[in-house]
Amino acid sequence: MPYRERATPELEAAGLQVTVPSALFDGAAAHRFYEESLDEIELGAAIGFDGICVNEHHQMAYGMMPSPNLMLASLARRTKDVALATLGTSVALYNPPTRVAEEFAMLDCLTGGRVIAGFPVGTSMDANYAYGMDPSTLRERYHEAVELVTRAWTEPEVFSFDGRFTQLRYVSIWPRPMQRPHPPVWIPGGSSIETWAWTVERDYLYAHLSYSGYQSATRSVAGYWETVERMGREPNPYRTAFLQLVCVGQSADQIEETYGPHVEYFYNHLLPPARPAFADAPGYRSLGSMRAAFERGRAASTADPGRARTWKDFVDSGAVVAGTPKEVTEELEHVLRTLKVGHLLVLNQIGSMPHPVAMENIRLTATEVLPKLREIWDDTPYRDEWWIRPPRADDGQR
Amino acid sequence: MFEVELDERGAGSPLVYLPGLFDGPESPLVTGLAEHYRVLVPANPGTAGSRGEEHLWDLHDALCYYLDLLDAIGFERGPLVGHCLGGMFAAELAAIAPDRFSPVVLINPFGIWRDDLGALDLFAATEDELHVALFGSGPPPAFGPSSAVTPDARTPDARTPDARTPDARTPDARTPVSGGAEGTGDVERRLARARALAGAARFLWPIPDRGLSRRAHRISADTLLIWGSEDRICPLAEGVRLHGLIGGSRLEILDGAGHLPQYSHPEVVLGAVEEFLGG
Repeated sequence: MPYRERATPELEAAGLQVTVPSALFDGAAAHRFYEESLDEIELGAAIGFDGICVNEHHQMAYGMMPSPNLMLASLARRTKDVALATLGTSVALYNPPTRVAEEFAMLDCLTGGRVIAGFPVGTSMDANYAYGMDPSTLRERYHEAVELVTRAWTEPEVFSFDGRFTQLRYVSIWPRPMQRPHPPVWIPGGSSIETWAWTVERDYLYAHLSYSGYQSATRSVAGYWETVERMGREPNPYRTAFLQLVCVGQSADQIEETYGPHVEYFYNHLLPPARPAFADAPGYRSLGSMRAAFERGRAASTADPGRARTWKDFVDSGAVVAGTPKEVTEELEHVLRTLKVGHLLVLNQIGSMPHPVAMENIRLTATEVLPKLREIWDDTPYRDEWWIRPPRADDGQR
Repeated sequence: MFEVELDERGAGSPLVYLPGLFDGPESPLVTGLAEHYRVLVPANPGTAGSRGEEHLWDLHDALCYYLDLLDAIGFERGPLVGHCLGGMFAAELAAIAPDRFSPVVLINPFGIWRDDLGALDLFAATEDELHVALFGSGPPPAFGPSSAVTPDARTPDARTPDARTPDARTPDARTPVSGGAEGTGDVERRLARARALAGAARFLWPIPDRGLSRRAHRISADTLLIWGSEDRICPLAEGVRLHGLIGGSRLEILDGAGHLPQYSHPEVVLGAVEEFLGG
């Protein structure tokens, strides 16, 4: 959920990440952006998306949701049947992490069991710079937090937890989640090799979130499937999710004119930090991940300032799937089959994109693209074991 | 659990030098002191051949690690010199074991912090910002410091932004210190740099204050503080405060020097240290 008002060059030079200048902030505009974003999400929920999703970022103009759970709370009683997902809630940044367990339990009960819990490690900007977490221990802290949250959800008796980063003598959360054994856990990641193995071992869903486009995602996702095979699990496409920017319209020119400037603003202004070091604190990535990235010939940082890129670059690389409904459907089907993805996450409001444009994009996607993709894996024996399971009234579950 | 790469130079009574992030056994200060002392330089956790840094969870663990190391090599009592991160360790060691370390020299040490000084975050600094902070406003040093982390010392004919030094040790001039962004340079060097910085982050992140101000009063040894006045990483006002906390200490301010005065002003620093230790 970006701050849609474009920053002046002066304000942008001060940096739109970690140390966003307060002069950029306009309260009336912010209020409007929240109203518009929630309207957009609610529209998607009403006209055909199976779920909606929010995420968490701190101290950056790219996002206005330091608390994703507050957004889900706002949507809880205004949506029916759709899954409400965070992708995610940065568990390592909550003190104690049982707060996350409690809030998801509340949301699960509030929504009748429709919550999906996404647990990212957190970007380096969020976790190390905005929240001051030591980069050399962040991943360990994150794993400990996930363990504490899942135990808090599932252990029937009170327990004590003497962790390295959190010590609690009495853990017994109230309320408890509705979904059994607990809400689905989705792990958003880039390409950390440790994340893949851990995700497969715990049988969580792996959500590939990268703004680099599906062309470059192919190599990374292939690494994930190799891990799945090596660990002896089935190549069930429903164990993955993939985020894709989608822009739907009538003709190439109309689409570029309508969406181009906003996508360019997103990539060239909102995403890259003015200070490159903010993207990748030392120790944030393991030495193994760094070495693997070098060997793949990629930049060491996840935010490559580089040259300003254009609409054409984004379309060519697959960062944006853009076209008529028919073209978009075909390209998305190609993405889903190539990457073997069972859950498609669609980003329809991008960067500075104004509300009416986003609403139309959502409408076209929901009504003219998604219905044709829904059955893509139906001819396989695989079932979606990573989706919500709201208990039915006649379940007899307590 | 631990392997410590320990460098020894010179001969004479033993002296321990704890280097900072940007310095090591090749320091001109070490070379100079080795004329009269047997200088012991343990590599910082996460650097060189040292192993096991993941077992140092906090400052308390690190201090026990150093005391264990000194026990193992038979260092009973003697002078302790520390710079930068090593200076923080040295101050804390002198506070916790005041009878073991005497005299004590601290050169632009970490450990004291003030929110209002706008100190430079070395982990987020660009190469240019770091260069000024390390070397101050004086002439560039004649030779480059060596560590996994140090930027190019920039001899006068290598001042242009695209310059590359032929020295394989020095990192790409455009790369931020943290080694996170795009740049050329060999993989092993960049990994070593990331490892060294991550090892230091354990004790310096996000703010290099682990409570030294509550303990510095325990330092009873004769103590000399040397401070480059233009150090933006550890600003001078912090040195003034530390000087006030350590009873009977002396503060030598080097005008125009930055965070690495032993490189930008080698004779002055060596002279001051030798005179202090000798006297």
